[in-house]
Amino acid sequence: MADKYLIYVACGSAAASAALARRRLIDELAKRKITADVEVHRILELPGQVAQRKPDVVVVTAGQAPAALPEDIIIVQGIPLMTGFGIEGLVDEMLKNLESRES
Amino acid sequence: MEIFSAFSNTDQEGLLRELSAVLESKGYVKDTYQESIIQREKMHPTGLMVEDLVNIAIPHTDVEHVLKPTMVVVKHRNGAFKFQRMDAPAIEIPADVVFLLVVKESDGYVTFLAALTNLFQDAEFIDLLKSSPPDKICEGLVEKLKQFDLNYKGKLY
Repeated sequence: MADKYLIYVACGSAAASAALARRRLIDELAKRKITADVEVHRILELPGQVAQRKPDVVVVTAGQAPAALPEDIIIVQGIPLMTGFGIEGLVDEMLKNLESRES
Repeated sequence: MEIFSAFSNTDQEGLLRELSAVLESKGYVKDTYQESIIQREKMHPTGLMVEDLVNIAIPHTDVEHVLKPTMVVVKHRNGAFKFQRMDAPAIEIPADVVFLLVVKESDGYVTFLAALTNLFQDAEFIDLLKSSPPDKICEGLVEKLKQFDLNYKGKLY
């Protein structure tokens, strides 16, 4: 497992949806004693941000992730982090994908 | 934070226009807010299906258009507002309740939003959302989210 994951959470304005998703994701990761840098970005700015510093995971709360992202980044649909239903399953799946990518 | 309720019988864009106009006249948002929130909703829709319990929409836009944070809880007078889904913009859903999120500073508002959306786990709150008018929903929020010191200011218009 990597020492510390880099995770981007993206929505339209980075003011509410992604910020809420980030808060819940950090809480769930903390419960599992997993450290990660979780940053909020606007969807439109994602390709530029990813080019500068490549994350392990991109969580999107709005629509689809931009098609231009590198294939080895794990893309997660973040709606459970908005509604509060299904957060554990989302994080289980995300961690499983991260581990299988590293093995 | 001050919160308001509203009833409306217009469509999605009409609703965002009327809410913006009144909030501007009351000093909560800048004159740029109206166009910004309408465009933001088109580009990044905010309809959310909370499992099969209730459908909501949480329209919001960039903080630079806001002067003072608030929230408006809106219901349609005789039906539902149509919003596209946040996670699947091609799909339109009828929103039982619209929460207009007027966000000035992301961190504090997100703490509030987390507490608000945690209430989706509360069957009594879901009932309130589905079957009560917006003023009763606001009163319920004041009661259930005491830690945020919400001040229900009545109908927005």
